[in-house]
Amino acid sequence: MPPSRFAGLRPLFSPLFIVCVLVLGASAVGLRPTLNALHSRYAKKPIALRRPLQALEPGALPSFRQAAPDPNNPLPLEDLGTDDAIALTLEQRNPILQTGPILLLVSYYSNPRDKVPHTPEVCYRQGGWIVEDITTTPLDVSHLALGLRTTELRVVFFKQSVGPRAAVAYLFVANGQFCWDREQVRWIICRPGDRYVYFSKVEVAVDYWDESERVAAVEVAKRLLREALAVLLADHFPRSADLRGE
Amino acid sequence: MNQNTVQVAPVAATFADDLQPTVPTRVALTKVLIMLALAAWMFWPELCQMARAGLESSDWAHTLAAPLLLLLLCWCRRQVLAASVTTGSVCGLVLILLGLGIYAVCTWPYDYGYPRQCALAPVTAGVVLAGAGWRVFQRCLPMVLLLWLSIPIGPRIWAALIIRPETHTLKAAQMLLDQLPGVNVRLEGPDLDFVRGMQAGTVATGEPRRGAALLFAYAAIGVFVTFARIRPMWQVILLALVAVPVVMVCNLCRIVAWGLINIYVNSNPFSPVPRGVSTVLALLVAYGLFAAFCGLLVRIVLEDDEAHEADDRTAATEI
Repeated sequence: MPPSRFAGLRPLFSPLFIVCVLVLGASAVGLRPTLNALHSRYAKKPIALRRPLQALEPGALPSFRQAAPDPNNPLPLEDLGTDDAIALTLEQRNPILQTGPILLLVSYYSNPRDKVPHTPEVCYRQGGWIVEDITTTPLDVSHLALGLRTTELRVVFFKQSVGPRAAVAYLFVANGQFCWDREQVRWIICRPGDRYVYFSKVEVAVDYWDESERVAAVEVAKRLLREALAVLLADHFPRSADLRGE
Repeated sequence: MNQNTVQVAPVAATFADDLQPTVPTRVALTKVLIMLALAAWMFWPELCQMARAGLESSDWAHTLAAPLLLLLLCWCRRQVLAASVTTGSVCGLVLILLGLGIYAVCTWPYDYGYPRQCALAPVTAGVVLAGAGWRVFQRCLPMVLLLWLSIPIGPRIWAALIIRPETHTLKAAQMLLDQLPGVNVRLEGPDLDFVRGMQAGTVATGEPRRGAALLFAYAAIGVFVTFARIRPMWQVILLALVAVPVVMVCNLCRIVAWGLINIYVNSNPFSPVPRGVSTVLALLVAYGLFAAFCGLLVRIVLEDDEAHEADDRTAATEI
Protein backbone atom coordinates (compact mmCIF):
# COMPACT_ATOMS: atom_id res chain seq x y z
CA MET A 1 0.00 0.00 0.00
CA PRO A 2 1.54 3.35 -1.02
CA PRO A 3 2.17 5.82 1.79
CA SER A 4 -0.55 8.38 2.35
CA ARG A 5 -0.11 11.73 0.66
CA PHE A 6 -0.25 13.43 4.04
CA ALA A 7 2.06 11.01 5.84
CA GLY A 8 4.85 13.59 5.71
CA LEU A 9 2.66 16.05 7.57
CA ARG A 10 2.20 13.78 10.57
CA PRO A 11 5.09 15.41 12.51
CA LEU A 12 3.25 18.70 12.12
CA PHE A 13 0.69 17.50 14.64
CA SER A 14 3.10 16.82 17.46
CA PRO A 15 1.64 17.42 20.94
CA LEU A 16 4.15 20.20 21.65
CA PHE A 17 3.23 22.09 18.51
CA ILE A 18 -0.48 21.75 19.19
CA VAL A 19 -0.06 23.00 22.77
CA CYS A 20 2.02 25.98 21.55
CA VAL A 21 -0.57 26.84 18.90
CA LEU A 22 -3.37 26.61 21.46
CA VAL A 23 -1.49 28.81 23.93
CA LEU A 24 -0.62 31.44 21.33
CA GLY A 25 -4.10 31.32 19.75
CA ALA A 26 -5.86 31.61 23.10
CA SER A 27 -3.58 34.50 24.06
CA ALA A 28 -4.21 36.29 20.78
CA VAL A 29 -7.96 35.96 21.25
CA GLY A 30 -8.42 36.37 24.97
CA LEU A 31 -5.41 37.75 26.82
CA ARG A 32 -5.75 41.41 25.91
CA PRO A 33 -9.54 41.65 26.57
CA THR A 34 -9.05 39.86 29.88
CA LEU A 35 -6.27 42.20 30.96
CA ASN A 36 -8.26 45.25 29.85
CA ALA A 37 -11.25 44.02 31.86
CA LEU A 38 -9.05 43.53 34.93
CA HIS A 39 -7.57 46.98 34.37
CA SER A 40 -11.03 48.56 34.30
CA ARG A 41 -12.31 46.53 37.24
CA TYR A 42 -9.39 47.30 39.54
CA ALA A 43 -8.45 50.75 38.22
CA LYS A 44 -7.14 52.98 40.98
CA LYS A 45 -8.83 56.28 41.65
CA PRO A 46 -7.45 59.79 42.07
CA ILE A 47 -7.31 61.29 45.53
CA ALA A 48 -7.25 65.01 46.25
CA LEU A 49 -4.79 66.79 48.50
CA ARG A 50 -6.02 67.34 52.05
CA ARG A 51 -4.89 70.93 51.76
CA PRO A 52 -3.90 72.73 48.54
CA LEU A 53 -0.19 73.15 47.97
CA GLN A 54 -0.77 76.86 47.47
CA ALA A 55 -1.60 77.00 51.18
CA LEU A 56 1.93 75.91 52.09
CA GLU A 57 3.32 78.76 54.17
CA PRO A 58 7.06 79.48 54.12
CA GLY A 59 6.62 80.33 57.80
CA ALA A 60 6.00 76.64 58.48
CA LEU A 61 9.63 75.95 57.57
CA PRO A 62 11.69 76.71 60.70
CA SER A 63 15.02 77.35 58.99
CA PHE A 64 13.83 79.29 55.95
CA ARG A 65 11.85 82.37 55.01
CA GLN A 66 10.38 83.69 51.80
CA ALA A 67 12.67 85.63 49.48
CA ALA A 68 12.00 87.75 46.44
CA PRO A 69 11.78 85.63 43.29
CA ASP A 70 14.63 85.99 40.83
CA PRO A 71 13.21 88.14 37.98
CA ASN A 72 15.62 86.48 35.52
CA ASN A 73 14.43 82.98 36.40
CA PRO A 74 10.63 82.75 36.36
CA LEU A 75 9.27 80.00 38.60
CA PRO A 76 8.81 76.88 36.46
CA LEU A 77 5.14 76.08 37.05
CA GLU A 78 4.15 75.62 33.43
CA ASP A 79 4.46 72.34 31.55
CA LEU A 80 4.36 70.34 34.78
CA GLY A 81 1.24 68.52 33.68
CA THR A 82 -0.69 69.43 36.82
CA ASP A 83 -2.36 72.42 38.44
CA ASP A 84 -1.43 71.16 41.91
CA ALA A 85 2.03 72.66 42.09
CA ILE A 86 3.86 75.31 44.03
CA ALA A 87 7.24 76.98 43.61
CA LEU A 88 8.63 78.96 46.53
CA THR A 89 11.71 81.14 46.53
CA LEU A 90 13.34 80.94 49.96
CA GLU A 91 16.41 82.00 51.88
CA GLN A 92 18.02 80.66 55.04
CA ARG A 93 17.30 82.29 58.39
CA ASN A 94 20.75 81.31 59.75
CA PRO A 95 22.86 80.63 56.67
CA ILE A 96 25.28 77.70 56.77
CA LEU A 97 26.34 78.74 53.28
CA GLN A 98 26.00 81.98 51.37
CA THR A 99 23.73 80.92 48.54
CA GLY A 100 21.53 82.61 46.03
CA PRO A 101 17.75 82.17 46.29
CA ILE A 102 16.73 78.61 47.12
CA LEU A 103 13.90 77.14 45.06
CA LEU A 104 11.42 74.66 46.49
CA LEU A 105 9.23 73.07 43.83
CA VAL A 106 6.44 70.63 44.71
CA SER A 107 4.13 69.08 42.14
CA TYR A 108 1.29 66.66 42.89
CA TYR A 109 -0.40 64.13 40.59
CA SER A 110 -3.29 61.85 41.39
CA ASN A 111 -4.61 60.64 38.05
CA PRO A 112 -3.35 57.08 37.53
CA ARG A 113 -2.92 57.99 33.86
CA ASP A 114 -0.64 60.94 34.68
CA LYS A 115 2.91 60.64 33.40
CA VAL A 116 5.60 60.70 36.05
CA PRO A 117 7.30 64.05 35.41
CA HIS A 118 10.76 64.51 33.98
CA THR A 119 13.54 64.79 36.51
CA PRO A 120 15.89 67.82 36.82
CA GLU A 121 18.78 66.15 34.97
CA VAL A 122 16.52 66.14 31.90
CA CYS A 123 14.73 69.50 32.36
CA TYR A 124 17.52 71.78 33.52
CA ARG A 125 19.65 71.12 30.46
CA GLN A 126 17.04 72.85 28.34
CA GLY A 127 17.80 75.99 30.36
CA GLY A 128 21.49 75.93 29.44
CA TRP A 129 22.76 73.98 32.46
CA ILE A 130 25.38 71.27 32.01
CA VAL A 131 25.18 68.12 34.12
CA GLU A 132 28.38 67.81 36.18
CA ASP A 133 27.53 64.86 38.36
CA ILE A 134 24.57 62.73 39.43
CA THR A 135 24.55 60.91 42.75
CA THR A 136 22.33 59.66 45.56
CA THR A 137 22.77 60.49 49.20
CA PRO A 138 20.88 59.47 52.36
CA LEU A 139 18.32 61.86 53.79
CA ASP A 140 17.41 61.56 57.46
CA VAL A 141 13.63 61.13 57.73
CA SER A 142 13.47 59.74 61.26
CA HIS A 143 11.49 62.83 62.36
CA LEU A 144 8.60 61.86 60.06
CA ALA A 145 7.60 58.84 62.22
CA LEU A 146 7.23 56.56 59.22
CA GLY A 147 9.38 53.81 60.70
CA LEU A 148 12.25 54.87 58.43
CA ARG A 149 15.58 56.30 59.54
CA THR A 150 16.80 57.42 56.13
CA THR A 151 15.76 57.41 52.50
CA GLU A 152 17.77 57.90 49.35
CA LEU A 153 17.78 61.33 47.76
CA ARG A 154 18.87 62.07 44.20
CA VAL A 155 21.24 65.02 43.80
CA VAL A 156 22.26 66.47 40.44
CA PHE A 157 25.09 69.00 40.18
CA PHE A 158 24.92 71.50 37.36
CA LYS A 159 27.21 74.18 36.05
CA GLN A 160 26.95 76.88 33.41
CA SER A 161 29.61 78.41 31.18
CA VAL A 162 28.93 81.69 32.99
CA GLY A 163 27.19 82.05 36.36
CA PRO A 164 26.66 80.01 39.51
CA ARG A 165 26.58 76.25 39.87
CA ALA A 166 23.48 74.50 41.21
CA ALA A 167 22.81 71.45 43.35
CA VAL A 168 19.31 70.12 42.69
CA ALA A 169 18.06 67.51 45.15
CA TYR A 170 14.79 65.71 44.59
CA LEU A 171 12.73 62.75 45.58
CA PHE A 172 9.28 61.41 44.83
CA VAL A 173 6.58 60.60 47.34
CA ALA A 174 4.34 57.88 45.88
CA ASN A 175 1.42 56.73 48.01
CA GLY A 176 3.36 57.74 51.12
CA GLN A 177 6.60 56.01 50.08
CA PHE A 178 9.84 57.72 49.13
CA CYS A 179 11.79 56.99 45.97
CA TRP A 180 14.20 58.84 43.71
CA ASP A 181 13.57 57.20 40.37
CA ARG A 182 10.66 57.56 37.96
CA GLU A 183 10.46 53.80 37.45
CA GLN A 184 10.18 53.23 41.20
CA VAL A 185 7.21 55.60 41.23
CA ARG A 186 5.53 53.70 38.41
CA TRP A 187 6.12 50.46 40.30
CA ILE A 188 4.59 51.77 43.52
CA ILE A 189 1.52 53.40 41.99
CA CYS A 190 0.63 50.30 39.97
CA ARG A 191 1.24 47.83 42.78
CA PRO A 192 -1.99 46.08 43.88
CA GLY A 193 -3.31 47.03 47.30
CA ASP A 194 -4.25 50.69 47.58
CA ARG A 195 -7.53 51.88 46.14
CA TYR A 196 -6.37 55.44 45.50
CA VAL A 197 -3.17 56.74 44.04
CA TYR A 198 -1.01 59.84 44.18
CA PHE A 199 2.57 60.80 43.58
CA SER A 200 4.49 64.00 44.09
CA LYS A 201 7.89 65.33 43.15
CA VAL A 202 9.61 67.46 45.78
CA GLU A 203 12.62 69.31 44.44
CA VAL A 204 15.07 71.80 45.94
CA ALA A 205 17.58 73.83 43.94
CA VAL A 206 20.46 75.59 45.68
CA ASP A 207 22.86 77.86 43.79
CA TYR A 208 26.51 77.96 44.83
CA TRP A 209 29.60 79.46 43.28
CA ASP A 210 32.61 77.36 44.17
CA GLU A 211 33.29 73.64 43.84
CA SER A 212 34.30 73.53 47.53
CA GLU A 213 30.76 74.62 48.53
CA ARG A 214 29.16 71.54 47.03
CA VAL A 215 28.77 69.61 50.30
CA ALA A 216 27.33 72.63 52.11
CA ALA A 217 24.87 73.23 49.26
CA VAL A 218 23.64 69.65 49.58
CA GLU A 219 23.26 70.13 53.35
CA VAL A 220 21.09 73.20 52.75
CA ALA A 221 18.96 71.25 50.27
CA LYS A 222 18.61 68.35 52.73
CA ARG A 223 17.57 70.65 55.56
CA LEU A 224 14.88 72.25 53.41
CA LEU A 225 13.63 68.88 52.18
CA ARG A 226 13.38 67.50 55.72
CA GLU A 227 11.34 70.48 56.84
CA ALA A 228 9.18 70.59 53.71
CA LEU A 229 8.43 66.85 53.83
CA ALA A 230 7.30 67.15 57.45
CA VAL A 231 4.76 69.83 56.50
CA LEU A 232 3.65 68.13 53.30
CA LEU A 233 3.04 64.74 54.95
CA ALA A 234 1.38 66.23 58.02
CA ASP A 235 -0.93 68.72 56.32
CA HIS A 236 -1.18 68.18 52.57
CA PHE A 237 -0.63 64.67 51.19
CA PRO A 238 -3.34 62.02 51.75
CA ARG A 239 -3.01 59.71 54.76
CA SER A 240 -2.21 56.00 54.29
CA ALA A 241 -5.61 54.98 55.62
CA ASP A 242 -7.32 57.25 53.06
CA LEU A 243 -5.40 55.54 50.25
CA ARG A 244 -6.86 52.19 51.20
CA GLY A 245 -10.35 53.70 51.27
CA GLU A 246 -10.88 52.96 54.95
CA MET B 1 32.49 27.36 -23.83
CA ASN B 2 32.17 23.78 -22.69
CA GLN B 3 34.47 24.50 -19.83
CA ASN B 4 32.20 27.31 -18.67
CA THR B 5 29.18 25.05 -18.79
CA VAL B 6 30.95 22.40 -16.76
CA GLN B 7 31.91 24.97 -14.14
CA VAL B 8 28.48 26.56 -13.83
CA ALA B 9 26.45 23.37 -13.62
CA PRO B 10 27.56 22.22 -10.13
CA VAL B 11 27.06 25.71 -8.74
CA ALA B 12 23.56 25.83 -10.15
CA ALA B 13 22.84 22.37 -8.77
CA THR B 14 24.09 23.36 -5.30
CA PHE B 15 21.97 26.50 -5.38
CA ALA B 16 18.93 24.46 -6.41
CA ASP B 17 19.65 22.00 -3.60
CA ASP B 18 19.71 24.88 -1.14
CA LEU B 19 16.21 25.80 -2.14
CA GLN B 20 14.88 22.26 -1.74
CA PRO B 21 14.27 21.80 1.97
CA THR B 22 14.10 18.29 3.34
CA VAL B 23 10.78 17.13 4.76
CA PRO B 24 11.71 17.71 8.46
CA THR B 25 12.97 21.17 7.55
CA ARG B 26 9.75 21.92 5.71
CA VAL B 27 7.71 20.69 8.66
CA ALA B 28 9.78 22.75 11.11
CA LEU B 29 9.49 25.81 8.88
CA THR B 30 5.72 25.34 8.64
CA LYS B 31 5.42 25.00 12.41
CA VAL B 32 7.55 28.08 13.05
CA LEU B 33 5.67 30.17 10.49
CA ILE B 34 2.26 29.19 11.91
CA MET B 35 3.36 30.04 15.44
CA LEU B 36 5.00 33.29 14.31
CA ALA B 37 1.76 34.29 12.60
CA LEU B 38 -0.13 33.67 15.86
CA ALA B 39 2.51 35.63 17.80
CA ALA B 40 2.19 38.51 15.32
CA TRP B 41 -1.59 38.46 15.84
CA MET B 42 -1.07 38.51 19.59
CA PHE B 43 1.43 41.39 19.42
CA TRP B 44 -0.24 43.29 16.57
CA PRO B 45 -0.87 46.54 18.54
CA GLU B 46 2.75 46.50 19.76
CA LEU B 47 4.04 45.87 16.22
CA CYS B 48 1.95 48.81 14.94
CA GLN B 49 3.31 50.95 17.77
CA MET B 50 6.87 49.98 16.83
CA ALA B 51 6.24 50.85 13.19
CA ARG B 52 4.77 54.22 14.21
CA ALA B 53 7.84 54.95 16.34
CA GLY B 54 10.04 54.05 13.36
CA LEU B 55 8.12 56.47 11.15
CA GLU B 56 8.05 59.30 13.68
CA SER B 57 11.56 59.19 15.17
CA SER B 58 14.82 58.89 13.26
CA ASP B 59 16.30 57.22 16.36
CA TRP B 60 14.15 54.19 15.62
CA ALA B 61 14.13 54.31 11.83
CA HIS B 62 16.05 51.02 11.82
CA THR B 63 12.92 49.40 13.29
CA LEU B 64 11.37 49.67 9.83
CA ALA B 65 14.41 48.00 8.28
CA ALA B 66 14.51 45.24 10.92
CA PRO B 67 12.22 42.76 9.08
CA LEU B 68 14.43 43.02 6.00
CA LEU B 69 17.61 42.60 8.06
CA LEU B 70 16.10 39.58 9.83
CA LEU B 71 15.18 37.97 6.52
CA LEU B 72 18.66 38.68 5.14
CA LEU B 73 20.29 37.08 8.18
CA CYS B 74 18.02 34.04 7.75
CA TRP B 75 18.99 33.88 4.08
CA CYS B 76 22.72 34.14 4.90
CA ARG B 77 22.34 31.24 7.34
CA ARG B 78 19.81 29.18 5.41
CA GLN B 79 22.08 26.15 4.88
CA VAL B 80 23.18 26.00 8.49
CA LEU B 81 19.63 26.53 9.72
CA ALA B 82 18.29 23.76 7.48
CA ALA B 83 21.03 21.40 8.64
CA SER B 84 20.40 22.24 12.31
CA VAL B 85 16.72 21.31 12.52
CA THR B 86 15.96 18.87 15.32
CA THR B 87 12.88 17.97 17.32
CA GLY B 88 11.27 20.94 19.01
CA SER B 89 11.95 21.38 22.72
CA VAL B 90 9.39 21.83 25.45
CA CYS B 91 11.62 24.64 26.75
CA GLY B 92 10.26 26.63 23.79
CA LEU B 93 6.81 26.42 25.35
CA VAL B 94 8.31 27.62 28.65
CA LEU B 95 9.84 30.64 26.85
CA ILE B 96 6.53 31.41 25.16
CA LEU B 97 4.73 31.27 28.51
CA LEU B 98 7.44 33.45 30.06
CA GLY B 99 6.98 36.06 27.31
CA LEU B 100 3.21 35.99 27.68
CA GLY B 101 3.62 36.30 31.45
CA ILE B 102 5.82 39.38 31.04
CA TYR B 103 3.27 40.80 28.62
CA ALA B 104 0.43 40.18 31.05
CA VAL B 105 2.16 41.62 34.13
CA CYS B 106 3.28 44.69 32.16
CA THR B 107 -0.29 45.32 31.05
CA TRP B 108 -2.00 44.68 34.38
CA PRO B 109 -1.47 45.48 37.23
CA TYR B 110 1.61 47.33 35.92
CA ASP B 111 1.69 49.51 32.86
CA TYR B 112 5.11 49.29 31.24
CA GLY B 113 5.09 49.80 27.48
CA TYR B 114 8.70 48.89 26.78
CA PRO B 115 8.88 45.55 28.62
CA ARG B 116 5.48 44.73 27.12
CA GLN B 117 6.95 45.14 23.64
CA CYS B 118 10.11 43.31 24.70
CA ALA B 119 7.97 40.27 25.55
CA LEU B 120 7.94 39.74 21.79
CA ALA B 121 11.58 38.60 21.97
CA PRO B 122 11.14 35.60 24.34
CA VAL B 123 7.93 34.59 22.56
CA THR B 124 9.72 34.62 19.18
CA ALA B 125 12.68 32.74 20.62
CA GLY B 126 10.29 30.21 22.18
CA VAL B 127 8.52 29.71 18.86
CA VAL B 128 11.84 28.87 17.16
CA LEU B 129 12.89 26.56 19.98
CA ALA B 130 9.55 24.75 20.07
CA GLY B 131 9.35 24.46 16.30
CA ALA B 132 12.90 23.68 15.23
CA GLY B 133 14.94 22.65 18.26
CA TRP B 134 17.96 23.82 20.22
CA ARG B 135 20.50 24.10 17.42
CA VAL B 136 18.31 26.31 15.26
CA PHE B 137 17.48 28.32 18.37
CA GLN B 138 21.19 28.87 18.99
CA ARG B 139 21.71 29.95 15.37
CA CYS B 140 18.76 32.35 15.61
CA LEU B 141 19.90 34.15 18.77
CA PRO B 142 21.41 37.02 16.73
CA MET B 143 18.03 37.54 15.09
CA VAL B 144 16.40 37.75 18.52
CA LEU B 145 19.03 40.31 19.53
CA LEU B 146 18.33 42.31 16.38
CA LEU B 147 14.61 42.15 17.15
CA TRP B 148 15.24 43.45 20.67
CA LEU B 149 17.39 46.32 19.37
CA SER B 150 14.51 47.32 17.10
CA ILE B 151 12.05 47.79 19.96
CA PRO B 152 11.71 51.52 20.65
CA ILE B 153 12.24 52.79 24.19
CA GLY B 154 9.72 55.36 25.43
CA PRO B 155 10.87 59.00 25.12
CA ARG B 156 10.89 59.73 28.87
CA ILE B 157 12.88 56.61 29.77
CA TRP B 158 15.20 57.27 26.84
CA ALA B 159 15.73 60.90 27.86
CA ALA B 160 16.77 59.77 31.36
CA LEU B 161 18.99 56.93 30.12
CA ILE B 162 21.09 58.99 27.73
CA ILE B 163 22.00 61.85 30.07
CA ARG B 164 25.56 60.65 30.74
CA PRO B 165 26.52 59.47 27.22
CA GLU B 166 24.97 62.59 25.74
CA THR B 167 26.78 64.91 28.16
CA HIS B 168 30.15 63.24 27.47
CA THR B 169 29.59 63.20 23.71
CA LEU B 170 28.70 66.88 23.63
CA LYS B 171 31.76 67.75 25.74
CA ALA B 172 34.00 65.71 23.39
CA ALA B 173 32.42 67.32 20.32
CA GLN B 174 32.89 70.78 21.85
CA MET B 175 36.58 70.06 22.53
CA LEU B 176 37.13 68.71 19.00
CA LEU B 177 35.34 71.53 17.19
CA ASP B 178 37.01 74.12 19.42
CA GLN B 179 40.40 73.00 18.03
CA LEU B 180 39.45 74.22 14.55
CA PRO B 181 41.37 77.37 13.56
CA GLY B 182 39.39 80.54 14.09
CA VAL B 183 36.44 78.71 15.62
CA ASN B 184 35.21 79.16 19.19
CA VAL B 185 32.71 76.55 20.41
CA ARG B 186 30.92 76.70 23.77
CA LEU B 187 28.62 74.18 25.43
CA GLU B 188 25.38 75.65 26.82
CA GLY B 189 23.13 72.87 28.17
CA PRO B 190 22.59 70.60 25.18
CA ASP B 191 23.57 73.37 22.73
CA LEU B 192 26.95 73.66 21.00
CA ASP B 193 27.18 77.38 20.22
CA PHE B 194 29.89 78.37 17.80
CA VAL B 195 31.45 81.63 16.61
CA ARG B 196 33.58 81.82 13.47
CA GLY B 197 34.49 85.32 12.40
CA MET B 198 31.21 87.19 11.95
CA GLN B 199 29.24 83.97 11.82
CA ALA B 200 27.57 82.55 14.94
CA GLY B 201 25.15 79.70 15.39
CA THR B 202 24.23 76.48 17.13
CA VAL B 203 25.15 73.02 15.96
CA ALA B 204 22.15 70.78 15.19
CA THR B 205 19.52 73.42 15.95
CA GLY B 206 16.14 71.90 16.77
CA GLU B 207 17.43 68.33 16.99
CA PRO B 208 16.25 66.61 20.18
CA ARG B 209 18.83 64.38 21.90
CA ARG B 210 21.48 65.59 19.45
CA GLY B 211 24.28 64.21 21.59
CA ALA B 212 22.93 60.66 21.67
CA ALA B 213 21.06 59.77 18.52
CA LEU B 214 20.77 56.53 16.56
CA LEU B 215 22.63 54.53 19.22
CA PHE B 216 20.49 51.44 18.69
CA ALA B 217 20.72 51.84 14.90
CA TYR B 218 24.53 51.61 15.08
CA ALA B 219 24.23 48.59 17.36
CA ALA B 220 21.76 46.95 14.96
CA ILE B 221 24.22 47.46 12.11
CA GLY B 222 26.89 45.88 14.29
CA VAL B 223 24.72 42.84 14.99
CA PHE B 224 23.92 42.46 11.31
CA VAL B 225 27.53 42.74 10.15
CA THR B 226 28.84 40.50 12.93
CA PHE B 227 26.34 37.73 12.45
CA ALA B 228 26.19 37.73 8.68
CA ARG B 229 28.37 34.66 9.14
CA ILE B 230 28.55 32.02 11.85
CA ARG B 231 31.27 32.90 14.36
CA PRO B 232 32.91 31.14 17.28
CA MET B 233 31.86 32.39 20.68
CA TRP B 234 35.21 34.06 21.44
CA GLN B 235 34.85 36.26 18.34
CA VAL B 236 31.31 37.18 19.35
CA ILE B 237 32.56 38.16 22.83
CA LEU B 238 35.36 40.28 21.35
CA LEU B 239 32.96 42.01 18.98
CA ALA B 240 30.50 42.60 21.82
CA LEU B 241 33.29 44.27 23.80
CA VAL B 242 34.15 46.67 20.98
CA ALA B 243 30.49 47.34 20.15
CA VAL B 244 29.91 50.00 22.82
CA PRO B 245 33.02 52.07 21.97
CA VAL B 246 32.21 51.79 18.26
CA VAL B 247 28.65 52.97 18.85
CA MET B 248 29.89 55.94 20.89
CA VAL B 249 32.50 56.86 18.25
CA CYS B 250 29.82 56.81 15.53
CA ASN B 251 27.61 58.98 17.72
CA LEU B 252 30.47 61.45 18.14
CA CYS B 253 31.18 61.35 14.39
CA ARG B 254 27.60 62.36 13.65
CA ILE B 255 27.55 65.45 15.85
CA VAL B 256 31.07 66.50 14.79
CA ALA B 257 30.18 66.09 11.09
CA TRP B 258 27.00 68.10 11.67
CA GLY B 259 29.07 70.75 13.42
CA LEU B 260 31.58 70.94 10.57
CA ILE B 261 28.79 71.40 8.04
CA ASN B 262 27.10 74.05 10.21
CA ILE B 263 30.36 75.92 10.76
CA TYR B 264 31.87 75.81 7.26
CA VAL B 265 28.91 75.53 4.90
CA ASN B 266 26.93 78.30 6.59
CA SER B 267 23.62 76.79 5.55
CA ASN B 268 20.17 77.59 6.88
CA PRO B 269 20.19 76.33 10.52
CA PHE B 270 16.95 74.42 9.90
CA SER B 271 18.08 72.88 6.61
CA PRO B 272 17.62 69.07 6.60
CA VAL B 273 20.82 68.60 4.56
CA PRO B 274 23.42 68.67 7.42
CA ARG B 275 21.29 66.27 9.39
CA GLY B 276 20.92 63.85 6.50
CA VAL B 277 24.58 64.01 5.49
CA SER B 278 25.90 63.53 9.03
CA THR B 279 23.46 60.67 9.67
CA VAL B 280 24.41 58.78 6.50
CA LEU B 281 28.08 59.40 7.24
CA ALA B 282 27.78 58.06 10.79
CA LEU B 283 25.87 54.98 9.63
CA LEU B 284 28.57 54.30 7.03
CA VAL B 285 31.24 54.72 9.69
CA ALA B 286 29.38 52.21 11.87
CA TYR B 287 29.20 49.73 9.01
CA GLY B 288 32.86 50.31 8.14
CA LEU B 289 34.14 49.95 11.70
CA PHE B 290 32.20 46.77 12.42
CA ALA B 291 33.20 45.29 9.06
CA ALA B 292 36.83 46.23 9.72
CA PHE B 293 36.79 44.51 13.12
CA CYS B 294 35.19 41.40 11.62
CA GLY B 295 37.77 41.39 8.81
CA LEU B 296 40.54 41.78 11.33
CA LEU B 297 39.32 38.76 13.27
CA VAL B 298 39.16 36.67 10.12
CA ARG B 299 42.70 37.71 9.19
CA ILE B 300 44.07 36.99 12.64
CA VAL B 301 42.60 33.51 12.72
CA LEU B 302 42.77 31.66 9.43
CA GLU B 303 39.65 29.59 9.50
CA ASP B 304 38.58 26.68 7.47
CA ASP B 305 34.83 27.26 7.21
CA GLU B 306 33.99 23.81 5.95
CA ALA B 307 35.95 22.17 8.73
CA HIS B 308 34.12 24.33 11.25
CA GLU B 309 30.69 23.46 9.94
CA ALA B 310 31.49 19.75 10.04
CA ASP B 311 32.96 19.89 13.51
CA ASP B 312 30.22 19.25 16.05
CA ARG B 313 32.42 20.10 18.98
CA THR B 314 33.02 23.65 17.79
CA ALA B 315 29.46 23.99 16.53
CA ALA B 316 28.27 23.94 20.11
CA THR B 317 30.11 27.21 20.79
CA GLU B 318 29.28 28.98 17.53
CA ILE B 319 26.57 31.55 17.07
